[in-house]
Amino acid sequence: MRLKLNRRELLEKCMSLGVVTSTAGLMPSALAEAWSNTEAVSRPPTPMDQLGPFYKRLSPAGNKMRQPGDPGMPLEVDGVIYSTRGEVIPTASLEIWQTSHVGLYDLEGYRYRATLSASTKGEYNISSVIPGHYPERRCQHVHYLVTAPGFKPLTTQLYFATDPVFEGNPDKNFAKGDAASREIVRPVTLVGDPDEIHAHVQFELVLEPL
Amino acid sequence: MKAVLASCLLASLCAAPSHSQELRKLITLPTPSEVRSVAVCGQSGLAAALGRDGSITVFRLASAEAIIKRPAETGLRILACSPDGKLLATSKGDETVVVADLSGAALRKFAIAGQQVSDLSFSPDSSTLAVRLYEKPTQLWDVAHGTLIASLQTSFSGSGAVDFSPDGSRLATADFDTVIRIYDRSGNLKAKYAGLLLEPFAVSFMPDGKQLVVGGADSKLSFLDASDGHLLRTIPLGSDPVFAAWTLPGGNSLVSMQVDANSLKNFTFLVWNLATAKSTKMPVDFTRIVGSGIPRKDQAVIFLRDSNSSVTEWALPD
Repeated sequence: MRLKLNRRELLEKCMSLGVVTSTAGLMPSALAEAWSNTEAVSRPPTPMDQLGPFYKRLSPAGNKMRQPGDPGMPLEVDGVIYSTRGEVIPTASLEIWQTSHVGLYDLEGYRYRATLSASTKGEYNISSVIPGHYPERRCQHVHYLVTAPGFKPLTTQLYFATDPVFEGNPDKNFAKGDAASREIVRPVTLVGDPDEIHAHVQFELVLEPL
Repeated sequence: MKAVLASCLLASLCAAPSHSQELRKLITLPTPSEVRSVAVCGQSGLAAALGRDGSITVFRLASAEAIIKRPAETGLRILACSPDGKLLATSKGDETVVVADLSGAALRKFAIAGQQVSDLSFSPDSSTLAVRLYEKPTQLWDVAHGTLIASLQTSFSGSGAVDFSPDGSRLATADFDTVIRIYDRSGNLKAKYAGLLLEPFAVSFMPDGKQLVVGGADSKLSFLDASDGHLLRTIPLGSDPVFAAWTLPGGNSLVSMQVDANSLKNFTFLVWNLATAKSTKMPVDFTRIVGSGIPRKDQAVIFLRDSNSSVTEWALPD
């Protein structure tokens, strides 16, 4: 039977045998993480989708787009920002905007608009509400503008697999919506206590180098 | 959420639309199919109609005579006609632009690698083609040599509108990154205005080339100095975003088209007197507008689709 070891076990065994020496005094776990990073899996870039028409610059900093008492289904979105080489990008900035739960953009102010920075691990998260259906658009959507030094700016949109336009089957009924790509139609899960149910979506973003 | 600016009621430049005024009917052009768009060929006396089936018909506007009938070409959806009346530029909204003579003989084919074409505009001397791209910066192409002159600049995304100055020496772009940029004809950035917060959708040089008018999601008309891009004045228009604006030949008025931001269905078509900042609402069914231009000295027109077999040219008041 062939012995299977994960990275950490293999490194520990090699270090114990003197095959690998950590000159920097690193623990096997750190070496394993470094190894994982060097073996990062390449990823296709997130498909582009249109920016407009109601992008507004200078959105306030923060990730709390939903305020207490806001009507609509609470929504939490999180994800990690990667390069197409599969490495996390810790320096990315995000601008995120959407309509209210009844499908209206705030043009006078900055409701449901936010600017935020990814964490050192490339992670981001926002709290909002499920956007309403916007006139002349078939799909509920959230706009993203993602920028990072050394990478092409990404304009894209997040769509919801639960959108009624897909009739419960976004694979079969994708064409009934107006999303630019099936890949940015994301599954939605309901999480939380019965009294505080909210929708959760994971939306990873992949940027192309310049 | 979208409230009319209270200050608008007090501002001397904020004017409610006054009485409706009829357009003046000029001529009806019989078309072989439902018209998608009409491109005015400068003041050459010609206009080209693109059908939804991809056919192209070139008309003499004085007589409505169809002088060229090109057969349907599946997928064709963007058309521009050179001001000298000699060339047609077309695209299927893909990565290719074809420049042909009026009969359809292809002269040049521009390959726009990896980028989809959204609109085409000739320079006044017909030598340069501005190619607006989907979510990418506009490109300038040399028509005679079929070469790329320049890819213009944006921080991200593309342009909502482009306009050449009347003398053709400059080009202005209304970019979705909220910046208005002014270039020379080689694509060198000469000036910009970065004072907008929301996306601009329209930009137009005044007839003397000294000012630009900009409209967009901020529901204003902004007037810029075309030499350095600085803001000269604004006209607040209430709460409806401006998605099209162009100046009329005399320099005393302009047209704006606005849409209700909430419904995106109630359109308003206004002609503005710039001296008084008063507007006249035109009773135009927006869904029938298929083109506009200045085909004769001192006369701006729009084209309205009548049916599946004709389109009519209407004169705008100036």
